[in-house]
Amino acid sequence: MPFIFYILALVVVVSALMVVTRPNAVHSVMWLILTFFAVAALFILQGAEYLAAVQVLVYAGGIMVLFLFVIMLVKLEQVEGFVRSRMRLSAAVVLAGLLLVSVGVAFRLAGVVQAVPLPDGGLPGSQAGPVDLSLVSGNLEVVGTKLLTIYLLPFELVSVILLVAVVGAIVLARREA
Amino acid sequence: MPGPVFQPADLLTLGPSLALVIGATLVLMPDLWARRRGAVSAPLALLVAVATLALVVSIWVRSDPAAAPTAFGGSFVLDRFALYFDVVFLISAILAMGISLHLLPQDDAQTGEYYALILFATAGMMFMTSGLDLLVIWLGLELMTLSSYVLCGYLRSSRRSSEAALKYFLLGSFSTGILLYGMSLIYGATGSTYLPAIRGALDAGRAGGGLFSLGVVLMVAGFGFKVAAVPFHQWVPDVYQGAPTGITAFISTAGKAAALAAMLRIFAGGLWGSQVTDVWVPLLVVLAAASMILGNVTALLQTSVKRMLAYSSIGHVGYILMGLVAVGSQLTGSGAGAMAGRGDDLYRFGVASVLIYTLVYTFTNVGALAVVAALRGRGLSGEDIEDFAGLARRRPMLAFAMLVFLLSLAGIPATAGFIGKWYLFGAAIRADMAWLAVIGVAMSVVSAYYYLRVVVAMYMRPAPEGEEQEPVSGVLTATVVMAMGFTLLIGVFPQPFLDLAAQGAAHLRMLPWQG
Repeated sequence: MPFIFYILALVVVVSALMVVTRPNAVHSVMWLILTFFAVAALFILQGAEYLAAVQVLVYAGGIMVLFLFVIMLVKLEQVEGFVRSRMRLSAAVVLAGLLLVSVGVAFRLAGVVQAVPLPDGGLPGSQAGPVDLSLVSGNLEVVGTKLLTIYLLPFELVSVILLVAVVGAIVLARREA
Repeated sequence: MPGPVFQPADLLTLGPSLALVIGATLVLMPDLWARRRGAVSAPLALLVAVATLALVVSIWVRSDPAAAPTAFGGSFVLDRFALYFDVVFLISAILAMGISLHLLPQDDAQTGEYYALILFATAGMMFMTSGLDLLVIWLGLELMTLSSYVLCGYLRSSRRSSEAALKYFLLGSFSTGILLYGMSLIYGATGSTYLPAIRGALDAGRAGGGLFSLGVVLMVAGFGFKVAAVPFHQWVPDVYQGAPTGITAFISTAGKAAALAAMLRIFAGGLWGSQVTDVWVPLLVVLAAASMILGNVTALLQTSVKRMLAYSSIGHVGYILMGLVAVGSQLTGSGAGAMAGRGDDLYRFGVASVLIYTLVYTFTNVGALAVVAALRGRGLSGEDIEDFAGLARRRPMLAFAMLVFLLSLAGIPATAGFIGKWYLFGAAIRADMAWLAVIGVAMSVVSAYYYLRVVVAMYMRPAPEGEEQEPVSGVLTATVVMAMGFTLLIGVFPQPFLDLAAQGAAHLRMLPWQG
């Protein structure tokens, strides 16, 4: 199992790097598709089949097609002179490297993270720790139940955000008043 | 598995935010049949905001001062802390609508969507303030920022507006990503996004050390972008200058207040103990000092009043963060009851000082931008300091209003700004951070210089010949008068407002698990 994980992780990292380094936007999109598929495989490895399916359907499917449409529409084949200043680029690389190292150290220090029971005095019906997905058959059911019980408010909030996104897109894209 | 988390009564607790969302949806509709776009929807939006403000006030009046009603399994709370900020957001939204009702018809850009988006953004802010679950807070933030991006780019014929929207969108979504990453690390370290559960993990010593700290660091950085503290401020001048003036007023006051409220809710109301404060207090000390110094010094160099107000807003965030630092310095103990006597007093004093300053800054900054909006007319943008020359001759009342706002921003006694700064600096001094207060006072002196430059232009320079300006509409006059009235009222009779802020501050730790 760890062996498969390391291969997939390598694929994710390498393809993600390719996404941000390719000068041709279409190539970037292709690498991004690979990234999404590899991440979906990582989800399966964790026992989250539903999340993996959504990842492929929504991201590798829908979002990517949209990306390609936009790239074709605006003829963004080559991005010339995107990196103007060498100094800024190296500063960005150093900072990103610093973040990477601190994330690595943080995970190292944290060790194995355990699920946490509710604190004393917690409110009735409050969120419990993460569900061990490997113990539950068909995690679509788990996701659905959680979404419509303890995460009901966030779920409804997302629908308002989508409404705003639709309204905003129309406001910005409408031809002329 | 937890029991049922939704009772119909929860919708009542959700009342104000729900009213705004429903109202905003209604505001979208009249443009379909109204003869002139915005003719019905814009006043309707104003009505929705005013009605919601009345609702919030009535909830406050009838609420039990010793209880904090929660909904949705405890992930949403409508205590007086939230209600206080709801009032600030709604006031800012109403005044911003007042500015927009004057300006948008000039650009021939009056539509209902603009006002609906302001209402949606306000609802998002309410969720940020009321959320007890990181997920609710983050989604509220998304609702707010998504609406703001669109509003910044609303004037599509203006290059500046589009540039502002794009910059705001790119840097905003980047910072939201950082914030979300921080939240996910905290989830990873504690196994929950629910503040009481995270708190429980902290108390039990099970919040995987470095992972949790890194999450806090990233969250501070994410919120730092939202409140525009140095070094996360680069987007501010261009966005504030390019956005429609009403939106500049809205995001520079309510937008920042919402991020501050969420920070208080998470760091001061939910998670304390040295494991958390050791991380964010030193960070905020640096952010506060850097914001005060850089914001005020850079403001000296500006010739556009809108840009000058943008840089000065960075300085003002520095002052407010000082209040947060004072609060954080009292939260070092771990577990319930760690804070007693003097610490508890100071904690409330610090929170109240932040609360009162956000209210003061809302009236003052929106008012100043309303005057800028009033000056716009034929051949004048109203944004240049030159446009203010001789204003005292041409329009004495407008010049006087601007004088009041600028004095308040500088913190001169008898204006609201003085009261606000008095409490913030007092909080810093009482928390043994006198050096930070010294920086604040020194930078206030610097700020007086550039605020007074506008005053000098208004009162001591002759008006340019033969320039005419659009008459100021009734709604803008009302906006300026209201902002000026409250700026003076808080300056002269601060006690009732301080009482309200104190009640809001007391409610930040009202729930059983907050000890």
